[in-house]
This record gives sequence, C-alpha cells and structure tokens, in this order.
Amino acid sequence: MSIFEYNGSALVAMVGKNCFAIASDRRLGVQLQTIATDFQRIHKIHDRLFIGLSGLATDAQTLYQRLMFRHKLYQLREERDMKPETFASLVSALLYEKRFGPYFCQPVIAGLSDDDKPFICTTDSIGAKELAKDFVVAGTAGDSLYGACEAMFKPDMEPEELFETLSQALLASVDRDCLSGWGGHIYIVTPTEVKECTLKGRMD
Amino acid sequence: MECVFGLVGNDYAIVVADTSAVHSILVHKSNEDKIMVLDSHKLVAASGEPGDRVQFTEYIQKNVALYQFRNGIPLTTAAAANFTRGELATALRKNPYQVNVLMAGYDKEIGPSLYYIDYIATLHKVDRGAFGYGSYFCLAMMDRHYHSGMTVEEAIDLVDKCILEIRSRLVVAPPNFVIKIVDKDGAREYAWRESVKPDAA
Repeated sequence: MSIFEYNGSALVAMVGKNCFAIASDRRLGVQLQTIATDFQRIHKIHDRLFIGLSGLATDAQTLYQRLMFRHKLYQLREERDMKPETFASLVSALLYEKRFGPYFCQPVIAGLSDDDKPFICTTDSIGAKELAKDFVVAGTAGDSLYGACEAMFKPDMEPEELFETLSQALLASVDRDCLSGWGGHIYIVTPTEVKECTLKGRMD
Repeated sequence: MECVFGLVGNDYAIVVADTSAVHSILVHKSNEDKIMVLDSHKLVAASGEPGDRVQFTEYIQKNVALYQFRNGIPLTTAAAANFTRGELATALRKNPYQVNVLMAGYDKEIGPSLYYIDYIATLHKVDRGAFGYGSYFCLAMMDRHYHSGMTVEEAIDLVDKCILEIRSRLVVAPPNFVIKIVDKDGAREYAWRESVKPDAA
C-alpha cells in the first residue's frame, strides 16, 4: 500500500458564482482499520481562505502547523491577510523545499480574491501547482471525485446549489472508496459569510 | 502482541496495558508496567519497541516536569499531547521512535481527555482508542458497549470484557494486564488482572 493511502482521505473544492465550497470526508484510518470518524482535514487560514490537506495525516498536521506559523508572521509584518494566490505560492515553496524527502500530502487551497472572485488550486506532494476554473480534487477517492464532479458541475452556481452539487459529488465518490468516508465536512464561503455543515452519508 | 487500550468516561479516563516484556519467543517478565504516570493528572500508556518505549516516555515525563518547574503551572493534557506529537514528528525523518502512545489526562476546566498518538506522530483526540493486535478486539467491544457518561464500574466491566476477548481470541495473548485511572483526584493504579502469577523478581 502506498504511503499516500495509509490514512485515507477525500478532498474536493468547487467554484460557484462569487463563492466557493470545499469539502472533505471524516475518516482517519490506519490502513484497513478505522481509528476515528471525526477527523478534521480542512483548516481555516483566514475568513476567506481555506486549505484541505489529504494524504498522510502526520504530514498534514505538520504542514498545517508550519503554514499557520508562516501566515501569522505574514499578518504581523504586513498587517493584512494573505491573498489566496500568494498562499498557494507559499504552499508550493514549502513543499518543494522538501523535494528529496517530501511531505506525503496533497493540499487543496480555496479562497476568495480581493475582488470576491473565487480561487481554487491543488498541488502535488512536491509543490507543482494546478490552477483550475471549476473544481480540484485530492485523496484516495480522487479518481472517483474527478468523474463525479465532471458530471455534476455547472458554471456560476449559487451557494445553495453549489452546496447540493458538492455534497452529492463527495458522498457518491467516497462510497466507492473503502479508505474514505464516514460522512463529510463542507464549507461554503461567500464574501459575506462562511457556512459549515456536516454531511451524513453511508457510515462505513 | 502488545495490547494497549483506553476510554473516557464522564469525569475520568481509563487506560489499560498488557504487562508482558517479550523478546522473540521468550517472555522476560510478565509484570512490566507500560503505563507511566506523567504527572499528577496524566497517564501515558505506550506500546512498541521496548528501548524506545522507556526512553521516549521518560523523556516526555522529564520535559513535562521541567515545564512545571520553569513556569509554576502544569501543562494541560492537550499541550502535553501536542508536545509528544512534536517530538515524534521531529524524530520521524531522522531517527524515528517506534512507540505508540495513548495519553489520558484530567484538566480542571476541561475534564477528562484521551489522545491517540501514532508512532508516525498522527495525533487525534478520541473517546476510545487501542493499539496492537488487541485493538481489533477491543475497538469492536468498545464500539458495541461504550456510551458517553459511563460510570467507573460500567467502564471497568467493559475493560474486563475487552480483556476476556483478547485472552480468548488472540493467539499469543498476554496473560496479565494493568488498569490505571485518572480523574479529579489524580492519576493512579486501579487494578491488575492476572491470569499467570508473575515471579517476585
């Protein structure tokens, strides 16, 4: 089993009309055994920027701590929050630093730019950025997520429709992957508010 | 074949560990205490490579004590767990410790808590957790019988059910177990469950 599949994960972010949504599964496993069903994979960097970290849980936790540290320093120096594009470059740089001994993570970054335009991107484990205009996926259920999102995605969805679409795509995909699932966590972010919901799917 | 498991009740946390020190096919001793009292209100149950287990848990214990000496107040359970994870994570890509840790503690404002810390430094706060081959049986028993707000008696009953499962279903089951509890009155040994009386040495 690959080291990326040790803990199991599913992450997806999708763009809507002046909003975005980012969702993850909730399972923390050790290969075939499930340890917890309430694992937090998506973290808030600031009110308009979220990062989800899939892959090896220990590296996801270390990377999150390093990123929070860097962002807090940035906030102290610049007296403002980091733009999503800047943050994506920071993530990419941190990952490439460990090019020959990498973090076994695949991050998904989602944020709202200054002009309220949604921004999503993913990188591989050594920091190769992949910007997308519609959706990005990561984790053991990644292949299924690509299919489900491609089928269900429509451009310029309102937050309510985006929430429905992303929830259905996530739950359908994790049901085909034994290493991810046990419900879902979804954040819908608009310029005015952040809504956080827990999804109940097949609890297996 | 090492078995470590634990659970959290309404105002206490219990951890249980087997007490066999094994080297290949030989049982060196069967009264080895694998649950260290970290400070007055914390317990660390550790399983894994024997040398690493003792060295690492003692290192954590001494650093937790140092913090209390320097700052005049004890660490919270969450802080101690995060410190432990940090040490494991730092060592992971140099000289990894092969130790799995279940850290149980009681904090005055927060109440009891249990932290699952993998040998590769995965940290998660849990209601019930287990390591080793025994985890297959313990987690299943606890999933079936555990509910939040159990009394100490109900929890010890569940612990005994888990031990019975391990003894009857695990091929090289450890014969003896130690149970330790932490609550508002502190961390202490609760009981031993012996099916083979160990020698006096």
